[in-house]
Amino acid sequence: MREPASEPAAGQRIRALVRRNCLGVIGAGVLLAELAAALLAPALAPYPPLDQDTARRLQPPLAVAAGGGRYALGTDQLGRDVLSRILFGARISLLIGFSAVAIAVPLGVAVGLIASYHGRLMDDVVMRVADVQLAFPFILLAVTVVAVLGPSVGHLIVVLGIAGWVPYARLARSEVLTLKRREFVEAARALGAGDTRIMARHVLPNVLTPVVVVGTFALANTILVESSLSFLGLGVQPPDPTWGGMLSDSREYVTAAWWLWVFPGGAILTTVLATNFVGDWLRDVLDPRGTW
Amino acid sequence: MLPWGYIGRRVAQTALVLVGITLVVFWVVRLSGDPVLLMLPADASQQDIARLREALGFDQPMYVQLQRFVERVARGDFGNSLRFQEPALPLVLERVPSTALLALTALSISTLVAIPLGVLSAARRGSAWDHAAMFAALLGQSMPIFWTGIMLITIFSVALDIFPSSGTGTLRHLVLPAAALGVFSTGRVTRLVRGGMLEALGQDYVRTARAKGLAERRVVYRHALRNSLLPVITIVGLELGSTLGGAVVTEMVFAWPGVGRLIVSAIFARDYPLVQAAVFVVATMFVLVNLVVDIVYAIADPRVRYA
Repeated sequence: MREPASEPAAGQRIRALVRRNCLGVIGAGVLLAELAAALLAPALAPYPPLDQDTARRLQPPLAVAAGGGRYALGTDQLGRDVLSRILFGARISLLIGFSAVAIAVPLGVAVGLIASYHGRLMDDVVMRVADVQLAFPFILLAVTVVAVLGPSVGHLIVVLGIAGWVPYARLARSEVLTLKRREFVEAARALGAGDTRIMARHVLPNVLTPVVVVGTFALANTILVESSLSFLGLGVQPPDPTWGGMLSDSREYVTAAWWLWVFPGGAILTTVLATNFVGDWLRDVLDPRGTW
Repeated sequence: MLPWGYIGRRVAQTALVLVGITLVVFWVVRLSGDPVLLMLPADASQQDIARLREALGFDQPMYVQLQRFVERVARGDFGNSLRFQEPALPLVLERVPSTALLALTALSISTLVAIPLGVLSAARRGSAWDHAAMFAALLGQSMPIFWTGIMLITIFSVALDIFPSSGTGTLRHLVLPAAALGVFSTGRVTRLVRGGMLEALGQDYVRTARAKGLAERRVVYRHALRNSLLPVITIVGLELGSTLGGAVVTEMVFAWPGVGRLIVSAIFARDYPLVQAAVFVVATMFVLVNLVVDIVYAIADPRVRYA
């Protein structure tokens, strides 16, 4: 329980809540807009993202081009349109991010439920496996596995998805450990409900709320990791456009063509920030005590 | 008195985790089915493949391979680096100090910035300061390290020419990479410190302190702060994991000669014994540091031992 005296005054609290929700709403809006832009990339992109033309290489963005340019965000070192590449890059980043979380969540929750519901030994084993998993920095494991399996969107999704199970397993586990002793679960058991029914009807719904919040933050983190892998040249391979890959290419043109690193970096930052805003918002709404 | 029981349990757990790490390192290069094909160029002849397979023992049954691998790892032998033709582990270990320097500097910066930021945010919860600090923290967490790095280089190396953009040797070389790497964890640690402070401020002893009429300042800085700083040790220990991961990227951006850069170049050179040794070393560093953190914590806070 939090002390009422430590709470700000009611008016202030409402304002704060609105303001925080406002960021959350903005974040959700940005994320939805990006999803739409990614889906509609072929229709929205002014140029094909892979179209090279050395005659128009390193054109500055429209707003600063002398004599009016034709490229809203400029062109890269091979004359490809930056805006089109960012739009197509959004497809890859969001696809990998959402798919990886979609693998990690059910995997982690299932492991956590099974571990905590089937005795001490199973629980110990799963927690040690979680320790082993956490000993490998996310990026490092992804880099290694992708290097062995070969870089492809599918491999990235599977690696990032499988490696991300631990937080959900821990959430599910701790939720079960507290719920197990609660009256309503005991009542259900007294009424003859089996383990499966108790887990599906009573435990799972309680686990889902924190999982949604943690999953949102994980989505943000996965997008960051994917961009890092592409930056290192171990993610999605050229010529397919990715934000991290575009930044990697821009390194030699840092001063000559600022738009090559400002816009793709801005795209990553906007997406990750928007996702984190949504996560914060969900946490404020779903868990006012801020316990996760 | 030292909590020997707790230390014993944690050491045993850590030993198990190290065994697990060894298994993962063994298994990860075999994911593709035939690791020998990974190590050779695509145009290698059948004889070359057969020769290397035999030389590295990949022609043996899996359990024999595993047994040999574990025996060798126990002796600190990961085989020879294919590229350098010398033992892989020493090649990795000689890079460890520079990665450790980078990661620890970054974490120190994070902690020194995050603690005051998080504590002030919690003490003035809901204020404009709180919102600004939380926004900054989220911003730091949302910036890719390599992008922060490119920006720092553009501003401080190219435009202002204050710090070198790459290389190592002097303290000035350390500034930009450590800052780039520190930004990310600063955001996270700030948010966690704030959360811990808010929790402490909700405790009974804080109410007691307020009830006996202590100044708010004293309540926050004497009573709540002291109790909420202890868990920060654990947070920073765990943060080392993502910092070591981030170091891989940072080292590539700033040409910092650490383990991360070694791993990436070994991957591109298909030098898998070296990759295995390096991944093992990084994971082991993380586990050992957290073992020490947990033991220090248990000595500092007796409640942990019985949890």
